[in-house]
Amino acid sequence: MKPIRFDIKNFLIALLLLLFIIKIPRENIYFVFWMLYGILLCCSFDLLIQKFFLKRKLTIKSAIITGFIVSGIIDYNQPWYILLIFSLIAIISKHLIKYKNKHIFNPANFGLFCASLFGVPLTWNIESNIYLIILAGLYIIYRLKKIAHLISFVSVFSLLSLVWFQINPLNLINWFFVFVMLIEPKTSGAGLVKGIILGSVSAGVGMILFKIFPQIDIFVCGLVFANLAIFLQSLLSQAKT
Amino acid sequence: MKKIIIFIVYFFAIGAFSSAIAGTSGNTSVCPVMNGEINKSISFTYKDKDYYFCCPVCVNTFKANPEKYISKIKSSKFEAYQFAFSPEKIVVKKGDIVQLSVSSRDVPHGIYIKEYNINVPVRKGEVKTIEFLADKPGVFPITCSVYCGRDHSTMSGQLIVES
Repeated sequence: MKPIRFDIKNFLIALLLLLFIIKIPRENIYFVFWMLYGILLCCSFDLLIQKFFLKRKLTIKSAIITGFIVSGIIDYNQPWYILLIFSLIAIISKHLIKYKNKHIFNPANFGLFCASLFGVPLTWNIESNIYLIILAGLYIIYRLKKIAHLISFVSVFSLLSLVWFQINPLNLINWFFVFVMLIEPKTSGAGLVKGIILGSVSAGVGMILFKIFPQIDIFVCGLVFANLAIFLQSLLSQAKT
Repeated sequence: MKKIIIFIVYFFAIGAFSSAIAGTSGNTSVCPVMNGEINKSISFTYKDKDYYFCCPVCVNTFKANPEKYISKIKSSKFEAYQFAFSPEKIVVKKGDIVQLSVSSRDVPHGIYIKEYNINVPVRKGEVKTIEFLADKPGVFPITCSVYCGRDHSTMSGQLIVES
């Protein structure tokens, strides 16, 4: 048996598992089945696509992370097919909406964005302990070198919350989103410029939506636009060179 | 490349349309006589209050015994705030027409009752009316459907419909 190697994906899976376990006593048994079902769905869809369409070496870690995030955020009182549809959208978006072999949107976030657009409530049950999220998240940010992403998001979000809404940003900010979803390695871009673009577009679009369309989840929707901005910025840089 | 851009634009257009529809659920009004959907052009004023009906026949039925039908309408205020609802429980009887004036004390919240297909976002300063026929007995959870901060997932209330 191969020993489990320490890498950032393993670390993230361990964090998500811990957050899930912490939440179990506060929810009912259906929450446990819902989460396991979501993980199973994402893994199955991803493995099927990899085996039959892409015919490449099978990997499962990303699908586990996607499964945890999608099922941990969508309201678990929804019918089973809701999770099936949006897990499928998340996994398909990873393999379909890509450019030069890199997906454009954070897959889990894209699935949740679709769910939010279609009026499915996102209850963010997985955000069970913010202190653990912040502590582990800071380590992830350090390892992935995403400090610019974090600072720009938190700054713009805080500024707009205070100036535009007179709300204490610490009461509103979603730390699970910031430390787990915003900084997904392939879609968040590397470096200072991309960090500033991602953070500020995500927070800026989110706060605009907060004003005009509160029924849409501001975090997931803001990140979709930010991923798009990173993609367009990459295209522009390539065109220049 | 073009395909990706077309796909994204198309997707956003569909999404915007569907979210506009999704945001309107739960705002229909109920005829106090037949419990059907009201027609805004058919109304009757009783004790300085306008009542709307589904058809002219219902107006005449209502006129014959207005108090009987008015007693079925249960109105109350319902406020959402970080991170609870006030009141925590709404108790009505099966067959009642429930009118909730919903508001938010702080940040945007969403009043969500899955079993009654109600999902109404409300911002601070707004008052929205949710009206529905309590036709299913039971205890139904009321949750917040708009992320409202750290303890968003713990926000819960109850709609109790007694049979």
